[in-house]
Amino acid sequence: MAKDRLLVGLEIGTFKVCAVVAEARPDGSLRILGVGESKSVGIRKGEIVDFNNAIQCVRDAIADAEEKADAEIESVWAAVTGAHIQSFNNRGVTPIPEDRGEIDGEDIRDVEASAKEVNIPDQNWFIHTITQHYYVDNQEGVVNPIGMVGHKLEADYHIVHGVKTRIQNTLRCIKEAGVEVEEVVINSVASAQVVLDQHQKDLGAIVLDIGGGTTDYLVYIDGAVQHSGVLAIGGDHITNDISIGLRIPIARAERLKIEEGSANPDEAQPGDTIILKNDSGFSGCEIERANLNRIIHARVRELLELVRKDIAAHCDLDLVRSGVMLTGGCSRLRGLAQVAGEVFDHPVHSVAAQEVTGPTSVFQNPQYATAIGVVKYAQLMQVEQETSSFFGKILGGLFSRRSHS
Amino acid sequence: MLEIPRTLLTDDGAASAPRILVAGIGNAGVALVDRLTLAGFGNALDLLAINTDSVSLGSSVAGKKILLGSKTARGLGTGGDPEVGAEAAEEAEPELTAALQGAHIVIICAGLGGGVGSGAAPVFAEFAKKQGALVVTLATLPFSFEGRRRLQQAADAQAELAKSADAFLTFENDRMAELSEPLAGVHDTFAASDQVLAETIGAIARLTLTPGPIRVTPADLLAVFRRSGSTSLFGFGEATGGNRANEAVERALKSPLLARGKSLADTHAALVHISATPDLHIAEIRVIMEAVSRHTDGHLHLGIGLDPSYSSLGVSILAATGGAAPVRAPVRQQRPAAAPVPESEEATSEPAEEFEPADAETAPAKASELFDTSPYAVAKAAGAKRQPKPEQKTLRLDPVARGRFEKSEPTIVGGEDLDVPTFLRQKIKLR
Repeated sequence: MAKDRLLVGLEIGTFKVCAVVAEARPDGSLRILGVGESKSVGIRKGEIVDFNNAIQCVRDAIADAEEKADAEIESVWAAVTGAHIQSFNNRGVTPIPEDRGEIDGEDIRDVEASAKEVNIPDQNWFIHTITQHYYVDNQEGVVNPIGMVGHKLEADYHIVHGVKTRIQNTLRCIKEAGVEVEEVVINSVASAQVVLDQHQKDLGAIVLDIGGGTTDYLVYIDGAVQHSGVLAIGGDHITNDISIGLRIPIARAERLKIEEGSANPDEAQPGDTIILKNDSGFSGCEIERANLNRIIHARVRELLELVRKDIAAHCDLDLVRSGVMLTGGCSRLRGLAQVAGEVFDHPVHSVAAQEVTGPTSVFQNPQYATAIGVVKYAQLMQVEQETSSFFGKILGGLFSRRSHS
Repeated sequence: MLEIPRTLLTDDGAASAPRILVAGIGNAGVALVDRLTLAGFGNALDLLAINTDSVSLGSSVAGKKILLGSKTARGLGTGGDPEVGAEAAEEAEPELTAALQGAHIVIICAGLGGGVGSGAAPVFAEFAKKQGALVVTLATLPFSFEGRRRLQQAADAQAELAKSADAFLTFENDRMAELSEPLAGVHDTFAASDQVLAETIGAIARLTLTPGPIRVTPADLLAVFRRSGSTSLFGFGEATGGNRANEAVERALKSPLLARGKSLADTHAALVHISATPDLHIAEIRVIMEAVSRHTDGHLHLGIGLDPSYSSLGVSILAATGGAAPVRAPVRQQRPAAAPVPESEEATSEPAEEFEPADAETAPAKASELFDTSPYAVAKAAGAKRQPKPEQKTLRLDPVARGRFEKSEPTIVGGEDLDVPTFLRQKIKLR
């Protein structure tokens, strides 16, 4: 196997740091060779708050992945998230010189640059510039304008930006752990690569990745990214709520959430109690299941409503025809899909990574959707780079790149 | 209320700008006026020190001084008796009225609780009102360890002042003490507290005096501070350089009284004033206003002052909490024993209450046994929304509850701190 075909996706999550090593097959498929993992320390809401501990976690995860995949990792593609990440849509316009008339890669770059001529806060960086649609002389629905003739090229972009220093902290952390970073990609874009197929993107879909510290979402309408966002609420908040509400230690609350918790308040019968055995530093107690579920339901419902409100403000929810794809570690919470169905009034599917091969225990677990998505994204980017090498950096297809040096 | 027609205000004319008189009454007030004098506000503001204690006045550096009650107090102070303070002020009516001549805005600074501050300040406020001035009082409330008597005197004085004052800014000394280290010297603590007050007055002066495209009128000020009994919040930040707007507003929000903007969640209105050189961008204004509005849903009053002589961009945020949000005040007292729950209350309740048992009468009792945050729930069950609720003047003490997110950056959406458990914020009852 050629070395340059090995792709590694790294996600520094609030709950776990996870590195996925995969092999990109020439036919475009992806085979997972191994997944390394370590429990996160020093990460809150998807961002590093304790630098040294975070470095150690990344090192552990990388070492674990190297062992499992029996490969040496030199560089990774990294997923980033955090409340600082924002997005908006913008249109770029560029005239095509009279003497030429034919659109080439240069024009694509110009139109993208013109779309980026907007005010974002000084301390922010562009993370993604995702093409939505091209228009040549007001003709709609152009998929690839290269080679076409016209006087004016326009394009709509979905632009994602975030605070430079916060992204740099993630990059520095990974470099300190001894590996290079190829590119960064935001969580929701990564997850969307593996939980949606082209058909679903065309029909319109919402990807809702509920993780430990953040909820990342992305909306596809008519095959293009229409909106994306990050809300710094995740499974950690549910655990915290349980811990405060039932007055039990955080670690116990986490276990209780996973083992017994449900977002469905009707599930519990009155008088149904859960007995917590005593533990070191915890004397044990009896709690009402109804209370537990009520606390979870309140948080989950609020979270989903906030996301829905934000999406509804930017997109027409009626155009989301294939429904809501629920993924991320927290999506395994019982009853979550039902509440999401009530809130969004769309079919809700709990999904994990699709279209990959390898150990099923890995890609069928929604926890790994983002990290696998990063690898898929990396594969797409590499394919794109190769096919477009003739035109230079055309990137006619999907994404723009940004250097990190 | 004094209205200054916009047409009278020329863009550069200091001549038609309102005249502001700052009167420091009592020891605390005099100390503040001294600080303002030393900070160089003497040119823009008329500074007046008023006290019954001739020693304190003698050492003051204020431009104008008035000794009250040379007969009643014999220049020795009041001994903490507001009645003596009030008498002394009435005795000096001619001098005080003369000093008030021509002032458009009178800012009365006093530490409430003592003799002069509590006694003379309300009398002076009345005189100022009679002269037709706009009266703004800026008062500090005593430390809670100063005893019940002083607190009572302060509360009485507040009620008295409310009769003549148009706007009320109250600062609690207890809060101010938090601004400095717990073990900081007494001098440092008072200095920090004086500093906040001086900056507040400076900001009021700047925002009413600086010419600019969006002027803050006294009416704006009143809209924010009309309610008495509320606590004032003030934040100021300045910065230079390419990212000045972001940095200045960040600093303003970081001011201790704003608690990184968290305190703004309760405000019904806030005044944001931007002072800068005339090259201020509209984008910078937007950045600032967006940063502030992220923390509050209240009415934002914007003022912009442009002056080529400024060296930096300054953002002042003035707001008041308290009176506006009784819903969020902690309901510490027991629910009245015989408050029946009207049937209609249940019918119109919000979806959040859908899990409430039909026998809401008995449920609260159970709840309070099991769960001590349930006063929230009790209040809701008792129909807190419609029943006339006694006004609570205590500061909102957060009973919890950000748990493990205590030290992390808060997730604030629509002015709500989402790190606080949802069931607490939505007052969902646990059994």
